[in-house]
Amino acid sequence: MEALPFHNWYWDLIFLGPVLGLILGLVLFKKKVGVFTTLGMAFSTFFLVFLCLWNLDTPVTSKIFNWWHIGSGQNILQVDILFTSNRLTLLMGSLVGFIATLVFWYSTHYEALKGDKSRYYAGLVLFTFAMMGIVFSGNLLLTFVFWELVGFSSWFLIGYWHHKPEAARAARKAFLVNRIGDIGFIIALMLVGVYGGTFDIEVLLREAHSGHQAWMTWAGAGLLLAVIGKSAQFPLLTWLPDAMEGPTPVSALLHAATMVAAGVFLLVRMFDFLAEPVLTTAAFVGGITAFMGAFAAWRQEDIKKVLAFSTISQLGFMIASIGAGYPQFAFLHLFTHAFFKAGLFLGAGVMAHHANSYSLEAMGGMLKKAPWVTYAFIAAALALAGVPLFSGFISKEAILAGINNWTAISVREGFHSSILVSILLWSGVFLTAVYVARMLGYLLKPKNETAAVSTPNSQLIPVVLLGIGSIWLVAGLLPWDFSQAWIIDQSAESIPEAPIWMMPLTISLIIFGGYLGYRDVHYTKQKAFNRAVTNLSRLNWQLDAIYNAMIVAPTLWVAGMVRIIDKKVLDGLYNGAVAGFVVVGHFLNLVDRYLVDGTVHLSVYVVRRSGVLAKAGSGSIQAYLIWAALFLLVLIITVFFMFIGF
Amino acid sequence: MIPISHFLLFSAVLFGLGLIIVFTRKHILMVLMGIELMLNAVNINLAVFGHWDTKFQQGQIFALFVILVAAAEAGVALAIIIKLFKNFKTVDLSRISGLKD
Amino acid sequence: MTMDQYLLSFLIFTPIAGALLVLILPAKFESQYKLVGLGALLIMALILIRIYTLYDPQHGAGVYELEAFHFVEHAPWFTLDLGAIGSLRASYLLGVDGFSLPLVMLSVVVLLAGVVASWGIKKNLKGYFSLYLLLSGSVMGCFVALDFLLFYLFFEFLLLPMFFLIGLWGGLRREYAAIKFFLYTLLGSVLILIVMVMLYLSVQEGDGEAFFKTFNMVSMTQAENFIPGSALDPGGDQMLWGWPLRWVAFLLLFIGFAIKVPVVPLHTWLPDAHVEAPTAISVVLAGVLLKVGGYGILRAGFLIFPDGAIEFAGFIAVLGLISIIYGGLNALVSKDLKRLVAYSSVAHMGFVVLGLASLTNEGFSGAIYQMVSHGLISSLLFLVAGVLYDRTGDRMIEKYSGLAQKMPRFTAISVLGLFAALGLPGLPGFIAEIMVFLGAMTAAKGPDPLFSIAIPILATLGLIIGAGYCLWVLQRMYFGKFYVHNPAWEKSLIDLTKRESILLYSLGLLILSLGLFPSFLINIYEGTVEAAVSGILETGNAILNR
Repeated sequence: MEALPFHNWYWDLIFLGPVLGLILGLVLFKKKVGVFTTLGMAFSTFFLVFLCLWNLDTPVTSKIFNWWHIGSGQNILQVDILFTSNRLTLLMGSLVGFIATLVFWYSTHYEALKGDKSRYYAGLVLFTFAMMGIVFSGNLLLTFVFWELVGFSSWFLIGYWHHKPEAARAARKAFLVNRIGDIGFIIALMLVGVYGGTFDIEVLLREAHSGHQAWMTWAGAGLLLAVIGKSAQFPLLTWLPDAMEGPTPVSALLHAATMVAAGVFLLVRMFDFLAEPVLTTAAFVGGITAFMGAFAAWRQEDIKKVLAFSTISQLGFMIASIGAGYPQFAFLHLFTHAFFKAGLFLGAGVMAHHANSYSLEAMGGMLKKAPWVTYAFIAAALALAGVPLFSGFISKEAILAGINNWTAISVREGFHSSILVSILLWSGVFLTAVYVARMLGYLLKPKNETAAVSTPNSQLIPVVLLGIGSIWLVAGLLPWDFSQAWIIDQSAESIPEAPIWMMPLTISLIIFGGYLGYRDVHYTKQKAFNRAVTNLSRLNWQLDAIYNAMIVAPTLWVAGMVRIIDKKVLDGLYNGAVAGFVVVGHFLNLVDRYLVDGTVHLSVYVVRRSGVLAKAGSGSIQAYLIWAALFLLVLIITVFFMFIGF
Repeated sequence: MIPISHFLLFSAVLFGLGLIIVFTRKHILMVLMGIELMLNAVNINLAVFGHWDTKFQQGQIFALFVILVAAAEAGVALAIIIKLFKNFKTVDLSRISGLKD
Repeated sequence: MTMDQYLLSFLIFTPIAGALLVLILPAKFESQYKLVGLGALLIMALILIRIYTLYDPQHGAGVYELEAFHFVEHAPWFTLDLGAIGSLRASYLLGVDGFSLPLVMLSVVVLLAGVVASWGIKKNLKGYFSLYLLLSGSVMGCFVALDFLLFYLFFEFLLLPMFFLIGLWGGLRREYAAIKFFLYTLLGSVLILIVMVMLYLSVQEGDGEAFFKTFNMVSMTQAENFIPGSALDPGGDQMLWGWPLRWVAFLLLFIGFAIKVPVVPLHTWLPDAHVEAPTAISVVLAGVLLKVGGYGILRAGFLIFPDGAIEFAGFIAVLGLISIIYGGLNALVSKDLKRLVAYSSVAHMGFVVLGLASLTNEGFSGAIYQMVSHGLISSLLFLVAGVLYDRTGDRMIEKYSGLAQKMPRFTAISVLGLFAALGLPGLPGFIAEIMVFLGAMTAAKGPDPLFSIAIPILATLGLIIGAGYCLWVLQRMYFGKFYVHNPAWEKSLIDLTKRESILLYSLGLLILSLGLFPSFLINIYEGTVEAAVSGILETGNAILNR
């Protein structure tokens, strides 16, 4: 297809749709602000999909304006507002827009948001706006700006119910843990700005393509750290489960398209920039996270927690895939994951409304209460588990094939520990089946209750749409062949062959895991070992406690020590110096009083007492004269010996 | 030429005599004379030392000043003595002990 | 307009005239004093707008040539014939360049905010407003004086009103705080005085055939103006205890100004002064006075002693790093909101020091940007603390919870201030910090780095700590269930009044626009920064490699 000529005002359409919708809503009809915002978002999404159809394979970078710059001539460091439209960004943008539109729509009737929703929608719009910024930004510094804005809006939305102490704490934790990762981003920015001399992503990718330099490795490592924070990878994964304190639609957006997806997206976008050691690290981090997240999801009580840990685990798959050198597969999984995870969260929101609780125990009998939502939920859950004929199967196969290929090559090169990543991911697949089956088991447990509340269409339709989006057609035409998936760019990189044993193995793992998981619902025997496993899973490997003991507490201890240094040592020095001066002052005062005054007093005393001497004298002039002469004589002798004699 | 030590010896003897008179004599006028003797002993000294100052003759000139001051001092002293005599009706110094208070 | 060449003098003497007016006005007009203050500051703002519209960065960068300064006023002040050691010439020399203009702009804004924040002062209005206006005038003088003696005079003049403003209108331990502030700053002044005398003995200015000793700070930046063989002659080798005398002089000057900045470990006067000072004075103290220190390091320290700047860049950078981490950790455990903001000031000013130490365009730009942005942000935060204090008389963080439910507008502006303090992109702190980081990284690059790469990397820890205390305050004070320590406060905790809203929102707007459109500020000083950096490196290395 002929590409459209690209104009700068396209960016206005992409970015400003929801913003204008929000403003119009606020100005015109405050009660319907959600509808206006949804329409604005839908408009932007529609435009993005339109661009996808025409401009997918014609990359364009447009400079909007120069934000700021330092220096001049050769040494100039430009910070331009650059936006890039290419295959990756357009697809991601459309995805974000689509999910956001559905979430906005869903939120218009979300019951827990009572009263005025303008603050809520403002947060959502900022969230989406910032995510769009990350997606399209062509300047790494600008990406960071939006990256942090995503962090800020997630803080705002997670803590939306700010009167709940848990929500406030979760919001702070999310931002703070992300901030630790952002340190990596800032270090990367420093290195890129100073050694690379530009923040332009395309230029950086070109430079990296023509030869990796040492600084790129460290900059890449910094970016990986940032991604670990944002995408909740090991070891910075503790914030995501707590982020469930926010409204459920926010969770859907956060898990599917905006926040955590930003990390994976960044790695995909900067893939060429990342050096070999960074990728290997990413593979291990991803593998570990995929396993840990799946294990932690296993015995959770709260449906949102199950979903949160499942997100962590699935993101681990993506990061591992990028680490193995297959960013396209990671992106494919990001794509399919966005649909089914959004469907799961939105569905869980509806079901929780029916059950009045997010607890799995309370969720039984959903098929009767909200059949359509439950069907959609089941479809999405099966996609999550990677059951054939669902989208998750295709993308997960792709990732496993990629990892398999990478492990094979690595082992051939003598890097044997890469097998660990494979093992971790396979056990991740198995555990995913376990917790999905357990979750579904709770949902389908028969319960004799009928629907007490109805589901509004604005919620039903998005959930069903997302359920439909969980079947294989979203990923590709053939449900078993990932290499034919829609969004895979065949020309970009070599597509690995999946070995013949892989599909049977995954399917049998899923069936076995599913059986175990389903049994788990009715499994009530509490052996000591089982209890320990449950605790470990439920408390997410005790990570919170470990971090509290190893990082938070020591930091606060150091801060306390610093406070003491300030109070005791530095202030002590000051107070001591002042006190020293005061002591010296007192001493001088004493000297003044006793020595100087004393001398005066002494002479007065002596003079007064010398009267006695005079009384001893005769009173006659001649006696005095004799005395005077005697003293004179003594004086002369003294002076003589002191100065002239010897 | 007469050596300088003779002059100095002479003036020292003169000064000593004057000092002894001042210390020992009871008559107030005798004490006054003793003082005059001491002054003149000093004058001799000054005149002798002035001998070396050929240019300005400072010693001699100073001696003249001392004679002048001595004359004035003698005048004042005599006036005081008259006043003393009027007060105490005596010129015996051992009887005049008003300083002791 | 011929008046235009005296704009800087007007800037200095308008508030001083205002102070005199306040003194003259009889007590009958007591309620009008604040109007006089506001009027004087508004006139200053108008003058500033005039200066800004006339300021053309193309005209010259300043720094090294008097001709390249803007709005220069030069008048002989006094000349003393000192016989054998020549004659002393002090002049009334004013001028602005890219370094001083942003700070002058900042000062006017902050002083204006301070006057509005002083509306509620009840005690001894005459004294308060006359001292406040005197302070305003000396601040202006400090930033525009180019004659060292004049600069020093204004610098000392800051001390006096500040001492009384803290000591008379402050909190419970105001005397302790005021005396502490006074002693620390006086120590700094003494060190600066020593160097000033040394400089005076070493620098001469040609005037045809005759040479004059001079206090001209622009002349002092030129190596050829130093008398050969004098104490600070760059070509000579005067030593003191085995150190070149120039280095000693630089360090004395640096310490003198570092007290004002303040740099850890010379900072302990700051939290006490802030905690005890009335709100408006805290605002001025953090917003303006600390910047005098940074400006002094730049103008007097780095430009006059470029060799010292290069030699001690690593040392200064380490001090900056320590300030960042140390101030942040202290803020983390502060129980008093104002003390927390004060310690965060220490951390933020650490970035200024680090940026200056890097001796790069990026670092200098970042340092100036940080000074301006911190001036506004800390002012906002002190005003926020003041709002709370006005209502309840207590600033302890633990005594509040869930304020967002009672005071939504107050919460919104606090969120802005605290996120600006932690360096959220889109707000000015971020731009300053990223520039400082880039500068520090540049300085750590290459075969002959000024300092280790570990310094910028460790400095990033300051950002985590910053996020830690800012978010913690938000979580503890604003969010969660509503609770106040004293039930009686519940009634007095009303949302922002109209005056407070105008004040805080306009400051917030300013902060936001500075974060979104940094070029507005960068354009003013970029030429100056480039000239200064290349000059410092060139002359400094020439002196060091001699």
